[in-house]
Amino acid sequence: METNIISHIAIVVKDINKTAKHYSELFGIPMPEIIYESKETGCCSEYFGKLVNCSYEIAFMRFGIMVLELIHPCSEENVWKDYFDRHGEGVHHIGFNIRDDKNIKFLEDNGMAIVQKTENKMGMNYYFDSNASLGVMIELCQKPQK
Amino acid sequence: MDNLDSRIIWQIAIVVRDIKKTAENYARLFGMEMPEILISGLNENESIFYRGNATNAIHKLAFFKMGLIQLELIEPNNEQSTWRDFLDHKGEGVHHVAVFVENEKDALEFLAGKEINPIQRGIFEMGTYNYMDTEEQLGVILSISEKYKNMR
Repeated sequence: METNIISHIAIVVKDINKTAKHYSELFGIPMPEIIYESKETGCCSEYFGKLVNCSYEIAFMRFGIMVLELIHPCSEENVWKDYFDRHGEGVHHIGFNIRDDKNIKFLEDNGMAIVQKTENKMGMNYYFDSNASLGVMIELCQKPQK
Repeated sequence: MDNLDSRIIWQIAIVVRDIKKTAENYARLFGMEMPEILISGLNENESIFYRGNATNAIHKLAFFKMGLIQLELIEPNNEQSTWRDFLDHKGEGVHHVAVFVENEKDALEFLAGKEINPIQRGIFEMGTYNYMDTEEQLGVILSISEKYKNMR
């Protein structure tokens, strides 16, 4: 991998408004904007190789060098809903920013399949089946190529 | 105190079943040196309190530096601990995120006022930590401690 710098950590929650409010109160930070992403907002997801109509709410808060992300899935058939159904609320993945496609192939060559691809305004996001190897899901984020 | 005085997450901790295997995977995939696997809970100066009671939770630990964040891997034994609870209920995964506070006592008082209390408290040579029951409010356990002495 070209980087070992953790860019963000994402927590799947049931009620994003409520959880964001708790963070805001405990840490004395402004209430983050809660963003809704769906097909209508230009978000496109592929889940186990199949195009899905995926929608979710997301909020970002900065904690030092890292961003803490809250996600609430609003539709079925996505990695966040899978996690929530199996474990309830909790840390869903750890994210890394990458430039080169080689990183994606590297993880695949090491036996970690891509379980979901989500494209939104921020770029392409790849979710890997890394739980058995690393104890957590890994997300690689790639900004749109210029 | 109106809010916690730190908002820098310095550590992310993952509980695992086989620390050697997982540590080897991190080292290989991210091009990092294989860390020493430490055993904690054996030293006389260390104690762990789970829900207020002393527990013989011996655990294996490994640390990686990933950017400015410390990634901690924890393999617990079968004694009572929040690590064991997590592993039994959720399987492998991120157990806590940690922040340092200026004054532990003040922070714990502030959190108690928000009905957030420690589930596990550990005392070891470098300092203490408190795992707070924040899962309901924050979706993850928050570890609170004062900055450790002689931190690596």
